Amino acid sequence: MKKYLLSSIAAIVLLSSCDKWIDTSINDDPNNVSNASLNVILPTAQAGLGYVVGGDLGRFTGLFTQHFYGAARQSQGMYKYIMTESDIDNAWQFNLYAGPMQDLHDMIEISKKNKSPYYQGVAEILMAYSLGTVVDLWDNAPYSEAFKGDANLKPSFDNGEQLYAEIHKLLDDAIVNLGAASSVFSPKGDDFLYNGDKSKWIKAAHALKARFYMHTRLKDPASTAKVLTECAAAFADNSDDLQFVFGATGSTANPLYQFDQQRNDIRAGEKLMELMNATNDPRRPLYAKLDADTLYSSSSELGPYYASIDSPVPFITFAEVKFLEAEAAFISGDKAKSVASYNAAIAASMKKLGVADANATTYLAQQNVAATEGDITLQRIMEQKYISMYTQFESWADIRRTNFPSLTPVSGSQIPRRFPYPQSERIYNGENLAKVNNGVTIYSHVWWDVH
Amino acid sequence: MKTLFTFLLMTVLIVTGDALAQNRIITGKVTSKQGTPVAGATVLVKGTALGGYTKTDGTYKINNVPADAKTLVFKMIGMKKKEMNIGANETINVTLEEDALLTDEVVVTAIGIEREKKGLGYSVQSVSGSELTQSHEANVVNAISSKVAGVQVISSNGVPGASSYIRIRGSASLEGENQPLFVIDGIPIDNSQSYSGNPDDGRNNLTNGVGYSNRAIDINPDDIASMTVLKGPAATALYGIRAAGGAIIITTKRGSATYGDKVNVSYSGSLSFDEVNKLPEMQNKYSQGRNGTYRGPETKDALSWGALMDTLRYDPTKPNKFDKNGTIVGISNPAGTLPFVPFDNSKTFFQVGKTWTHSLSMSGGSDASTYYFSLSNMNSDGIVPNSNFERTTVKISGDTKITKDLKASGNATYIRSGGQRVQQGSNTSGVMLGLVRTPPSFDNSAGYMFADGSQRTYRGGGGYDNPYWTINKNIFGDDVNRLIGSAQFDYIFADWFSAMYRFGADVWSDRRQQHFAIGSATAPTGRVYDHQLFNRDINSDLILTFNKKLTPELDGTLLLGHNAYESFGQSVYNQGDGLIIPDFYHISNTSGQFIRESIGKLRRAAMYADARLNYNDIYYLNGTIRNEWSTTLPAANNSFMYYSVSGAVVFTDALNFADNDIMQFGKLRVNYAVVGKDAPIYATTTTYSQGSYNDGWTDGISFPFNGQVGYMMGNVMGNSGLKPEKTSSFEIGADLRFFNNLFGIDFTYYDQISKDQIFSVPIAGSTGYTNIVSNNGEITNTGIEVVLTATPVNTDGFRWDATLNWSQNKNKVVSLAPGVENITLGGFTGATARAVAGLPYGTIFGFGWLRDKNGNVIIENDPNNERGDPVGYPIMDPTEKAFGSSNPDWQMGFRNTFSYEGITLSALLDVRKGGAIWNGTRGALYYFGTHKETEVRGSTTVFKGVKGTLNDKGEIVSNGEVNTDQVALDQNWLAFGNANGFIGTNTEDFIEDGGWVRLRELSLSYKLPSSITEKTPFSGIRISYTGRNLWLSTKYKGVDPETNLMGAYNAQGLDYFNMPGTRSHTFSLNVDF
Repeated sequence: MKKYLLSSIAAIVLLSSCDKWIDTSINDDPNNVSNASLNVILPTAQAGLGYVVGGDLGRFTGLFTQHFYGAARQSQGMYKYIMTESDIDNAWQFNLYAGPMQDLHDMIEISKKNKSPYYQGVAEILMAYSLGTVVDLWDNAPYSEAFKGDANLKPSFDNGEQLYAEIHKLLDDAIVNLGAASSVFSPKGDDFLYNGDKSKWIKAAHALKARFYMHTRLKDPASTAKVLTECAAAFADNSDDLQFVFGATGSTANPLYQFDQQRNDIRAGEKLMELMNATNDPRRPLYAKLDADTLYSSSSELGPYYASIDSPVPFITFAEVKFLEAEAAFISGDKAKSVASYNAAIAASMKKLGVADANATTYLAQQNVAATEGDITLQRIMEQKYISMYTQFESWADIRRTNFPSLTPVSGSQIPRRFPYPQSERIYNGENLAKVNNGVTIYSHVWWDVH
Repeated sequence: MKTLFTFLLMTVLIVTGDALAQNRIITGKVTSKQGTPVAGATVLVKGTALGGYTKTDGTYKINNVPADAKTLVFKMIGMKKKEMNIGANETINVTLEEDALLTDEVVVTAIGIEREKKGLGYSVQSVSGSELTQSHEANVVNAISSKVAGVQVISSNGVPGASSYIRIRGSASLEGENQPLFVIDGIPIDNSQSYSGNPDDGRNNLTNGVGYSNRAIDINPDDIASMTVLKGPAATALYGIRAAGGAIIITTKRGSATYGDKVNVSYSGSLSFDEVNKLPEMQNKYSQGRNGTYRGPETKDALSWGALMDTLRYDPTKPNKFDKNGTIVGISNPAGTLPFVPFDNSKTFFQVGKTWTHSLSMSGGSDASTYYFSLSNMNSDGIVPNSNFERTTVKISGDTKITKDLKASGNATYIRSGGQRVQQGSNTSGVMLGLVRTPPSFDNSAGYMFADGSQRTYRGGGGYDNPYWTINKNIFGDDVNRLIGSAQFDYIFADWFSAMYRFGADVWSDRRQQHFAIGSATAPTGRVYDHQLFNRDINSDLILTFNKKLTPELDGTLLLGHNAYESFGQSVYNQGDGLIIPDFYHISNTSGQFIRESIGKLRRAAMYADARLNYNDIYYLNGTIRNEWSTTLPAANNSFMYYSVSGAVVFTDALNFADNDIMQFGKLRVNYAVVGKDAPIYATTTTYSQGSYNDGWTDGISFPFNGQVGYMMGNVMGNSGLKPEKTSSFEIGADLRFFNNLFGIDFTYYDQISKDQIFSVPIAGSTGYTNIVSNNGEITNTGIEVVLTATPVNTDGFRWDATLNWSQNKNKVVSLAPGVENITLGGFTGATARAVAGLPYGTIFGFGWLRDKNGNVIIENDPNNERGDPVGYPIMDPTEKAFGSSNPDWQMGFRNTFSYEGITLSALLDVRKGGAIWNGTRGALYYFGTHKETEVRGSTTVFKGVKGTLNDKGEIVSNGEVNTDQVALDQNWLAFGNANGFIGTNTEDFIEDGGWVRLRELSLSYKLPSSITEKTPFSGIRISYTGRNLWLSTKYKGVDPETNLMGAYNAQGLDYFNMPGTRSHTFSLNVDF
């Protein structure tokens, strides 16, 4: 009897030894790590960018540019330009700012501390790419006061034009860093994009600079020459393409493939199909499937090249660089170079998709494709670029800059020219947003959009 | 703390040193005023655990009564307690008086302390076991519905095993638990609702997947003797943190002394038939297609905006793989020889569900020891074919007096529960989603699979699953094994000092397996997942009770307690995608796998004191103080203290109302309490988590990725400066009884303020994070609860009892965090339930019509507007608005019971006034064109409002001219325009009144007279019928408005393809041996 009592009382005393029972280390999170190394942050940031670029950003802009047709449900609404501040909130919050961009920001800081310029350079290039994307889609955006957590809960919005200067600075800095003699830590297999190949990263930096200079050529005519300079230092062939290749399993599947499989609400775009049908484009079966009437139309489901489980999501490609060169040369009056680059761009696109050389040659020889110094036009360059840039949001920038290809608005009198600011910034950073959001609609122009 | 226990230990050692005294035997008989024997009365030697019960002839016998024992206590439910001096007597006979006023009613309060209800300074309400079982609800939470004032129960739907949400006196915590603590025989048990699906998707898994159970569903209602609902912080002060949302105290049945060989055996069995009680109204005029043209499954068209069906015919000469009648052609086609008949897919799909329950119990014992043993099984086949839920429970409990001073008792319950669940909600494999989107021109039931194994759906295999495919090919099963056990020792040191120690554990594992066949909309390449959940809660209580008559009139009780609690949970989730061999569901047959594991652990400790003074059973004063330690708070803030004070006065006794003709009993009570609450686990630091991305459209991606490990900075910033949440409450009430309890009223008013809420405050994504955990915000709840009881008729044999529970709770989110006006609790982009400063918790937000200052809707009159809005139609306001909250204005339960001889008829009317629900189903069905209301297509209307437009600057331009434009109600407006709530943003038109009046229960039972049962081996036989939801009146246009998409979760009032509710008929038999 006494024994039972004693032992139970003893148990209580043991239990109630407060210091041991209320051990503060019990609240150390066993599921997550408090310090992560560069080689586990980089792959996550890259995959995150691949997911948002090939997912929401590519799809939403594709519905505006008629790369895609919105056949059903919410995609049908967006095809008709119904886009609300909550539609793009996930992309902004989770998949850009608090996602890859925050991690890239961290990486730049960590690699500076760790004296690892190679990681720093890679992170800077990806940050420049992300930030450039944000400016092209939303114009003014937080950067100088962003990513500070509780140290600044209300980051102000930087001017889009100034952010472009920042982007070029990041890219210039990256080129220097990647050329450094040594780096304590260097990206290897954790770099999904280039497997740690520094020379490719440097080329990618130049390619991005070419793209961003091109965006500003109507604002600043001096940009056109810079495009040509940067293109010369950029990609040499398709193997240099900066693109994220998805995996073969459900949890590593390409986002467009996932959307197509899980939602099945979009089809090949009207404009895209119209242009490709006009030239019997051999890339059609790779872009779209035959519809019920065995035609390629806006009833065609997505084709295999960009909508398979392990499809790539291009960030910037050799073909784009050649198109940039073609456009810049055309504007500068160097028609010969323009034609050469135009042909090279189309050939690169065909080759990338695996179109047989003979078919590519036949295609290029067609009257409404072939270009000579005498008849090359900006429209032809841009329409071909639009075809080769299928699924990529850069086409939206091209259309806004050049009005080519010319689109018939699906509703209203014009196509959208920017995304609305996200709901979360309006609610939680409203005062700062209000300074840049006055009268802004999806038809307002971003800073470089002078049309 | 250590010091105190050293002291306790020494006390125990000293006291147990006492030698056992000399003994004697006392016998006697207990009778009523009328002279009839009272059976089953408790006889106790005061200050000891010694005692027993009276037999059927009213006699009792107590052995081993110590020589120094002074008093015997006689107690019986419905009779007044009586104490008798022992003196030198060996025979003590007593007469107990009837307690018409039930003033001696004893209720179980916090930490299992039995107290006279009369002396409580706070409101509690009890529900008897029989009242609960009479409902024949599988889920004990549902059985409480409309029986207790101030308690709101929302069953998520009518599918077997569905969860139910319960909240008492509104929501007080922004993101924490708002449901009460469940305590069984002193052991807090887990009532969580765990969800499955890719853990990276977090709470989004609650808007899709299957319906899950809340774990209180594991309780066998037949084991419950009584239930007490502790409503406010004063009542739950001794429970501390975990009972911040109130507490449901369940006391299970125990054995009683039966003497000799007799064993009380009791069996109850029932069979219920469940049927769908309400479905959305569907149109059956228009076929699949759009623009008035039939477009069949080959076209994959999602819509039912096709041709009028009476313009269609079958051409039987042209076989069609989608329709056995042939190819559908227009009426003018001469080959169309067979008439075309619309299909009612919903009617065909649902079935009558059947539930069998069997419950057997045995109990008995001697003076020294008693036992109770029960075995139960409930097996339910749902309204959805192939869905079921089964629960088997085994319970054993026993009490034994080891010595005259020491009593030991124990409980052990094993439960196995689980079943096959239904895919629901915003889920491309969801049953309702696929079902009600189907055009009436397509027959889902005519096969779900083609010979090649591909799926037969009206969208030619795309979009979402045929509901028959889902129920046959996409199977989710759960299997819960649970053990709840406790051991308790009560030791009486002296008649003024006793101690109790209790240790209990609630341990469960839940293994869930889901597979999706190849070709399913959710996972076209096929998927299996195995989700293993484990939970272990342990609880230790030590309570020392000191009771002393301080003066002849003043009785004092002091209670000192210690509590230690630990909760540990683990979740391991394995998902494999890409099945290779069809219909073989094993992780080895998947081409890619990923695993998620998470562990959570917390501990708490508390010391508390509870002091009570009772002056002459007239004036009562009670104070409690509790200090709590929690591991979830930062070390600097992890110890915190709170308290309560309550008082009661029986003014009828103070003012000598005893002989008053009208009012015989009147009591006033008042209390003030403060209660604290700790933080969620792991909220004090910011960490890198396993890499994963999701955009709300697709399943997303996650690491490891192509062989690489990946981490990302968490989106939620931790906070190392967290302090406890604090709720303070003031409550005042009265309990008045008139005309010898013919009529009674119990009234309570409360005012509760919850401050320093710990929640993850949303912040702008540009900070690099989406949320930061902090102490902020304030919520108030004020309310009134009224309980009316009456016995209008009580003549020989016939009795009519009526009880009315009415309550109103006004909830307001006073503030959130600086600069944060609004946080989302759950929902979709179309409609979200939010906490917004200045509005009630759970207010539904979304988009609605643009209105001018006078509230007139603006009707577009600018043909060149940039939005592309059509002229003559209303304009959508681009700014979100609040559309009311899901909290009801008031609710009422009104029960009338008539009994005559062995016949009892009881009806429970349930009224819920107001409470908004977002009918997302109807909103979506506008787009799909299957809702009845889309039959207006082709007609015209003049929208009420004024002409105007919204300019580029977001300003309304209107001269106030009343709109007169006659416009078409066509597909462009109803399906693709702002009228629909699916691809558009219209929320306003789909916010509906979720109020109801329903006959929640109607039961008729007949207890066979003893003249018949005497001739059988049975001592009692009762047969009964219970009808549930036999009648429902509501304005709600969807399924039964007692529904919620996210189940037992803080975000309420959302209906998006929710499964329907049910009405049921139960026939039952109770037999006592």
